[in-house]
Amino acid sequence: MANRRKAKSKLAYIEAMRTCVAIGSSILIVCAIIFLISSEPASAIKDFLLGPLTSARRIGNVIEASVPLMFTGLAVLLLQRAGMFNLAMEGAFFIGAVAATAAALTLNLPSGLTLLLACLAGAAAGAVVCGLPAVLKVKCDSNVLVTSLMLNYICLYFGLYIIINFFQDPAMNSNYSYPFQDGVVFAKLFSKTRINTGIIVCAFCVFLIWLLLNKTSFGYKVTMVGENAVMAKYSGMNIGRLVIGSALLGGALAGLGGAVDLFGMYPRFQYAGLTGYGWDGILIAIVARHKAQYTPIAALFLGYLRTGADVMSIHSDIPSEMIKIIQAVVIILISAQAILSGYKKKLVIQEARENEQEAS
Amino acid sequence: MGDFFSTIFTSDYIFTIIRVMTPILFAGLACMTFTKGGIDSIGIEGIMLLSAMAGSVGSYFTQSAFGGVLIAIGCGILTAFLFGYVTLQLRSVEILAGIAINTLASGLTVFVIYYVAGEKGSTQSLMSPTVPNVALPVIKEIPVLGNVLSGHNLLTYAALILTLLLAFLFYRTPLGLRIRSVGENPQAASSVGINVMKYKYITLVIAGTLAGLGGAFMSMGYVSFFSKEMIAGRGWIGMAAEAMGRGNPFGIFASSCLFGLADSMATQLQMLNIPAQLVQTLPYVITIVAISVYSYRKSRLVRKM
Repeated sequence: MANRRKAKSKLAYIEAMRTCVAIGSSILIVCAIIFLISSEPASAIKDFLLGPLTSARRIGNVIEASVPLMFTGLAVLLLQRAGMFNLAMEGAFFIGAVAATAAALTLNLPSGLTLLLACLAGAAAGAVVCGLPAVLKVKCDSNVLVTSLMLNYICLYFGLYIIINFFQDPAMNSNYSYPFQDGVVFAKLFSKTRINTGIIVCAFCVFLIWLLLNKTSFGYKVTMVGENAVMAKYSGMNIGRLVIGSALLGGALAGLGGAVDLFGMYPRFQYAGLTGYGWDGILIAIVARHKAQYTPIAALFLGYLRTGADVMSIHSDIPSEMIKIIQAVVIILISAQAILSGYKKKLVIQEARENEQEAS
Repeated sequence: MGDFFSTIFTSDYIFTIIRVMTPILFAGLACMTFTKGGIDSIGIEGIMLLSAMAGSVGSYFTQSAFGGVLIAIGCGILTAFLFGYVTLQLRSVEILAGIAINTLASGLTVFVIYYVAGEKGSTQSLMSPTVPNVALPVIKEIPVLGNVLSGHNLLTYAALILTLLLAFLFYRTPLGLRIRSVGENPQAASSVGINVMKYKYITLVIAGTLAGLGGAFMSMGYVSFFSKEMIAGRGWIGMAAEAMGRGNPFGIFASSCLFGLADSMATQLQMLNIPAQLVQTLPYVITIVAISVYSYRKSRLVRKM
């Protein structure tokens, strides 16, 4: 038993190693690119790697940037837990912000209550968006990937329609909504930064999802459906309900993320298009190894890289979009089963031999 | 209502449909090839985006449209190979690798045009030759039909011819049969002596070429420059067209036309004071409804058997 636990921790160690190798090599690749094309590579790389630590405001930027990422990371975690590649979290995040705007600008209630209801409206809208592909999958057996990708564009245009036709501020020349009433905002926690009470909501969600996935029967069942749907079916689980349930919850998290980002960072609705946070959520979920408790670390990591890239693009000739190259390489390397697989196999065989000896 | 029909049914309008449907047809054919060879096609969006950029930049450097198209095709094949290497050799999860390709494309294209054109948004400042429009000799003389069929971009005609060629390739040649067998059951194919890896890579070459042509059409035919994120979901609509067309080239052609119709209807309906954003959702709504209805009927059929 002790041996087995040791072997298991060794396997976990290999997985952690793989994550580190993936992240390290992607950063190395980008540094190599910077060396090839920048006129001042040394200062660019220094800005990129250490820039976020140079002032309180920038450390704040890292944390602010990680809040929406934690929400979408959790959303992806839940959506994929039941074995579905539902990619509607991108649209759910956007439509969550739209619904929250609509609620905040139509409700005439005390500001605290308005904020609460607006956040709930965002979560509900997100749940509907992510729930739809799951329902269509269960009822019609339609391809989740395709329907959820199409749904993202529907969310974008429908959301813009709502904002432009009902809430657009004529004083602004872009598709900005009217400003929210005073008090409908997540209060700032520290001066000099934009870190706000939204982060508390976020931390609470991380805890809640950890609890749900690890300590409840719902979490156990959903995981089972994702790992082995046939076995789950024959052990009497209602697969359809579990798939839809996890999609609704994931969508609600993404929608809530949109609302929290909106009320924490902006005085009015001002997204011009889809934010990309949903796609980032996939990276967060992978780096966090699909464990809720690690999503904050993964989100802070990506937030750090983003802030570093921004600092670098201000002072040098490298555009901040190079961060996407890192993201792509990290996704590929972490999901690549072949890397370090030889070592992993050796460990599994070693473990089996030890067990055999123990038995004889 | 009379207004509505007089806006919709003009030869200009049908001409627009064919133009708008071209990139979707290329994407659909590429997705069909991927699917026939048993490879996930979600990376199509990124392959097309990279090819669109490569086409525009390549045509600027070679100062020839032909050179640009060739470079776009080369870029499409290379990106498809990258995807193949990652999924077949490194054994990455296919969907994740596809998403990674899309992420890479959206970053790398901005990166490259920033250095070539000096701005992040587009390559409008570069003088890059485009693929010409062609007037068909005899057909253009026919009264209405001539206006509809003649004068399209060379790549549009290429897409139509490729639809026929692919139908022939997949259903009438040994190569097509082998690709399909590798896609449907690699173990069985390998047991009769087919080299699975070889045919997977052949699939990637064909699909990469088609996606590359689709990208080239976007930056050298549809408009005359590359702008960031210009594929705007057309690759994924191609996936939907593939699913709706049941993997048949002619079915894909028909569903591409449907998307082209919905897409260009969006532009036309805006003139009739219907909110633009609502109309823009139309192609996507139609896709979801069509796919769900089709899958529902198929799953009922399977259950009956």
